[in-house]
Amino acid sequence: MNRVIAFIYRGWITMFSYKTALVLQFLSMLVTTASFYFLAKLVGFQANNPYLAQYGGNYMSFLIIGVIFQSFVSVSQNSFSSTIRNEQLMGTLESLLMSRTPLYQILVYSTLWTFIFTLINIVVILAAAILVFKVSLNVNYLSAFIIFFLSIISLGGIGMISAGVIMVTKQGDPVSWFVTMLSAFLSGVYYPIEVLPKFLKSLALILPNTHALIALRQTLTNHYSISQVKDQILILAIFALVTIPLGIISFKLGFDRSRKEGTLSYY
Amino acid sequence: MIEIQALKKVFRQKRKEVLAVDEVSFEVGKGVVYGLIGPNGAGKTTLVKLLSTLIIPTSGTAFINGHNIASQDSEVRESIGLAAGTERSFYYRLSGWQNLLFFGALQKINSGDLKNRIESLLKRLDIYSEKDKEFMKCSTGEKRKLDLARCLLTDPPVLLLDEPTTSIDPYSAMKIREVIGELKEKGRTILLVTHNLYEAERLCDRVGIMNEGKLVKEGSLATLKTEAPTKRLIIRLEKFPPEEFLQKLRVFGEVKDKPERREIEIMLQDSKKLNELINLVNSSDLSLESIQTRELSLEEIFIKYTQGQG
Repeated sequence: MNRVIAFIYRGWITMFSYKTALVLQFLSMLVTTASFYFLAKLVGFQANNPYLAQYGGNYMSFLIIGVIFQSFVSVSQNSFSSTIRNEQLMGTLESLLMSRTPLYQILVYSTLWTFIFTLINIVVILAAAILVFKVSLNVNYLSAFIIFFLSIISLGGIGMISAGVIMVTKQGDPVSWFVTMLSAFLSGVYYPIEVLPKFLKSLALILPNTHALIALRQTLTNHYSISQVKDQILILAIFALVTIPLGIISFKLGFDRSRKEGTLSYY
Repeated sequence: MIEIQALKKVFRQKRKEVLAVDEVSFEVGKGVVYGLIGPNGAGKTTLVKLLSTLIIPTSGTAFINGHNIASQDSEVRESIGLAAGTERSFYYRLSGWQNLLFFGALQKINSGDLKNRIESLLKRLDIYSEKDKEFMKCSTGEKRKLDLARCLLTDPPVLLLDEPTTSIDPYSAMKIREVIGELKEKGRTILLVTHNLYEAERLCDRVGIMNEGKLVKEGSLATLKTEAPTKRLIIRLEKFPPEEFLQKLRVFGEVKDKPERREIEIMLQDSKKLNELINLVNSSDLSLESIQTRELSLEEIFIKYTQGQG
């Protein structure tokens, strides 16, 4: 069995063994989408809304894209550390490390199922939004894909830094907590960053998530081409170039410290 | 082949240094089963984890099939199979078969070979009929067998088995011992950590006794028995001696009297004092019929070297 398939197979079998949780998760997605619909109804469709105009004026699509992106942010940032944490809890981390598969591959492959499942969630939310709640999108697939890809890579670097921290602390990862909190608060998931005070807006622009979300909304609702989102692409590429090496170094340091302290199997 | 050279591990715990493995050195050759025994907390599992590259040593080194554990960790891991003896090392929601397929895929074994290998191992360990049972529903014996099966997936030349028969039924233990015996015949190098001294006596060519991080004694079973500082002496007399004489004997070690057989058993603490003891018996008016040295059991040797800790 191919190793990539082996990890996906493991995730599939494990998830489908918890059938009730699976059904509840899908129900939650539908309820959440419906909640967004009513929230958007309250705000109303305002094509001239100064804050929403550049995103097509539709708060429902603004919210849906924000939430979809936040799901991917969460997976990119947290899946590496949660993989390590889960393997520590299950006691399987040492068994994985004893295999002939290098550690970084184990880390990446372990998150594949989470990404696939998140993608399934997103498809369900989008399908409900488009078919039931009549959200209209105008997607430039190529530029949207590039933004998604670069976001995952740059945030994955932060995720690897978190995984290095979790190797040592076992529970409680300030890096992931800080970035996730800031992302939800500042990067324009639920409201455009234009509503923020000036100093918070400046802070928001330091986060890769903010640039990714701006570009993603433009590519998904306004059909922006690559050249129209080139600034965000450049910013995300720079973030990726910085965070990935930092993530690799941090994870290696955390792993070696845990081996030195003999705490790989602790949780 | 395992070569351990002055391997040392110090853990820092709450600003305190704990010496877990203290400059341990020994070798295990091809086709040899080396038994590592010692009380709980003696450092046996830490030593196994050092050899598996799961823990980085403080000083000293070890070579597994010629690969240095400190600088060639991936080559070392490719050379060993580790049965860690813990139940929490499999995915509980996956069956035994699915678990082995998963871990086998990580070992880069191609799918067809892997399925054949798993089937043959499960049949050899008598758990093929339980292959589709979820791991969480498996008995302790089945879990231990799956642990052993997993470490044999790649048929590695060196095996590190940490208490593979602890807490399991006699039949499962026997099956596991049979397989270890077969692996020895095939020339595998085996380090067997065990608390079961019967198992050590039966399976091991050499035994190392660890206590407080140190390897306090090692060698073949015959050597351990010959070189044990304590000797068991059985003295037979024509008539059983009075209490005053027994008191004099107690200076040499623990005395058990068996008046009905006119025998006295002495655990002679210092074997250098054997002549002194014989002189004492001969100088008394008790007629000595015979004096015999009896071998200590591995359990008695173990207790002697570890001072009954555990």
